[in-house]
Amino acid sequence: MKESFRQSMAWLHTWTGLMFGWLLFAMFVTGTAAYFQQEISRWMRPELAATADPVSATQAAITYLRTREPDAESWFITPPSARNPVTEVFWQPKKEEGQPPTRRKRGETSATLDGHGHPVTVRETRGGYFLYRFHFDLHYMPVMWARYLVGAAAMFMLVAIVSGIITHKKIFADFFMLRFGKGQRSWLDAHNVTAVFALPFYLMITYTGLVTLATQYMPWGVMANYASTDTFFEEVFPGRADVPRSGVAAPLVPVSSLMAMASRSWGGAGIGFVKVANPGDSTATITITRAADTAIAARGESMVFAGPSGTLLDRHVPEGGALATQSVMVGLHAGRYAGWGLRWLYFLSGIGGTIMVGSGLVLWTVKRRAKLPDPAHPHFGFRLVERLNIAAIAGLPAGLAAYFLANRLLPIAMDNRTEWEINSLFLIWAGVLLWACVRPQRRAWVESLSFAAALFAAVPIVNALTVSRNMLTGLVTGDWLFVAFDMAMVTLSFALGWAARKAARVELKATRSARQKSKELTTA
Amino acid sequence: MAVHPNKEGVHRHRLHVLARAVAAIIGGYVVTGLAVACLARLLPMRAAEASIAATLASFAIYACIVVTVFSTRSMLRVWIGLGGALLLLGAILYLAILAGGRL
Amino acid sequence: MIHIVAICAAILGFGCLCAAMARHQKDMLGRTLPSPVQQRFRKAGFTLLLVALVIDMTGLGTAYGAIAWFGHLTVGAVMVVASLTWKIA
Repeated sequence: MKESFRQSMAWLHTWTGLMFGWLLFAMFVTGTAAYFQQEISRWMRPELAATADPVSATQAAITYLRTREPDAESWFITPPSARNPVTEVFWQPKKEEGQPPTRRKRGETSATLDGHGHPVTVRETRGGYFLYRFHFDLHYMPVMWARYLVGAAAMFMLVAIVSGIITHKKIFADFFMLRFGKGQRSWLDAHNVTAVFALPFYLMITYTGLVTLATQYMPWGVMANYASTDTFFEEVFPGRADVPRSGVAAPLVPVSSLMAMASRSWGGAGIGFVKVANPGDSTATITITRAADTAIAARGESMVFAGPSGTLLDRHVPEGGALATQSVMVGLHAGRYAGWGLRWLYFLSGIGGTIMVGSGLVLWTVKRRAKLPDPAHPHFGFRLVERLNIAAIAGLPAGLAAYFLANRLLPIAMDNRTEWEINSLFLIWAGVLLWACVRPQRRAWVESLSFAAALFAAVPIVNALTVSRNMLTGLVTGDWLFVAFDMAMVTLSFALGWAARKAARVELKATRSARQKSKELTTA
Repeated sequence: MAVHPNKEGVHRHRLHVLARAVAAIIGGYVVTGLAVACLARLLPMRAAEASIAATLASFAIYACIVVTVFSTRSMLRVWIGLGGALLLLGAILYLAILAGGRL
Repeated sequence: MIHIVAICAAILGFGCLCAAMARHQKDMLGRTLPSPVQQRFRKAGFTLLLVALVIDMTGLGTAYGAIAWFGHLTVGAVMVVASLTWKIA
């Protein structure tokens, strides 16, 4: 290219940013929300209030599973924790002879239990877990496609970050520069400031995000050394292969002593996961994995015990440098190790990233509007970008608020309640996109942002009308979850409302100057 | 980028952009894949570790290739560079697998 | 707790770095500062940011503290810019 290195990096930055900008915006919004997915899930299941002891809850869950699916291939139990008061269980059912494995619907092979091993009676919802899964699995499409799309977006983001750093020549001089009311310059300032202030976070989150699904995106490292992935996994995770049942029945030892022993050997760390393979058989094994919030590395240590006797069969082998690095990188991305303070820092950085991507998208149109040959009639590509900007920046937040509202408003006993909560998010999002397409562009910004602000404001109100727990009762009883959630809704509503007011002012200025111009033309 | 006001200039510009994009995205991915495979075979650690280490580095390699493709002056140099890397890395990988086989 | 203290150090640090820049001195202090004073502000600013790192690593552990430090820097920088922009408006 005939221009300087910096200029070509500016060009590269603009286009890599735009191509996946809307998907990246959605990934940032849902990823940021996912840092509080447990809390969101608890808010969306307000019937759950009690806490549970993880050890007795796990034992009770095993009793439940013994009655429900005694000859399953394996049981998976996630004990309750400080952030999640219920026990989540799922199982791999026994494979029927000669029949291919059938795809069971979600819910047929899983259950949510209370501390005594009884299924909880709560409204059906995917809660915050849906937002976390959407972040990389998207929705309404096969998971593989979604992950390729998301991976491409992340790769484009990585290039955008690198090219952005190279091209931002005044990174130190403009470090504290944020001027409002100066049109394009203001948008550039906002984009620069949000980008630079959490730059280490964005670099980390983008790279570690790619690493999390690296075996799907770059299998060549493994394939260069191994003819089959099975040999690779056997070397890295030995002894995890499935053993067929012997047919000899044998009861399981109580899991509580095993959990206590594991926890002690990990310096008092909690238990994150319990897997029982071939339950009730003499070949049964119990694998106990350390809780994620006790170490940065995502791959928690585990110990494997024989089911009938409780003897220790295997412990997690110390990992080599590369494997440990990979585990830490995944852990950094998911942030499950973070305590409250750091979790909020992750969340705020995520918000920063959302604003960075959003301001970049708006900056693109503001810059180009000035260069249009006929600003009153922009070409199709430009109009498309403008509408998609509105749909992403105002539409997705509106959809999120609608998701929370649907959780409170949809009848508890309806069929496919979970799916319809999720559909509500996308229906409202699509609605904003359609609205943005038919309305004049500047009006559409004001109306869509106001709409999103109104929906968020409605959440605490609808909550108070439909459920007995809310911000006020929370302040009295110390129910901090409901206090925090309502405050977050109000804050988001104010932020979107402030944005709507700013957009209205821009619209007013634009119509005034247009009126002025036409007056000049008629009086000339 | 320089603005071409005439229709033919715009067309040529767009083709140029497309060529760079194809070279960077597809060519870059192929070269990265080969580089990762070579690293996995050549790094002085046990096979599983080398595979993972190479995979971890892959995205940094890919990003560098993309930036290089878009900052190289002439398109010809881009194709020569990518083609050369492809042949060299392909040869190294082929010999490495021939010599050691796969697990 | 540790997070609050470290964030305060970060705010002070970035405040000093901001005051060390000529283009912001007019808005922050109403006048421009002589060069040696600017240098001192810059040194103080970086030192305070390092102090925040030490606070974090001592109070939260080496790895955890280093990670939290980046977040504290972000919050500190945001606070300084927000108050500067508010002051100008």
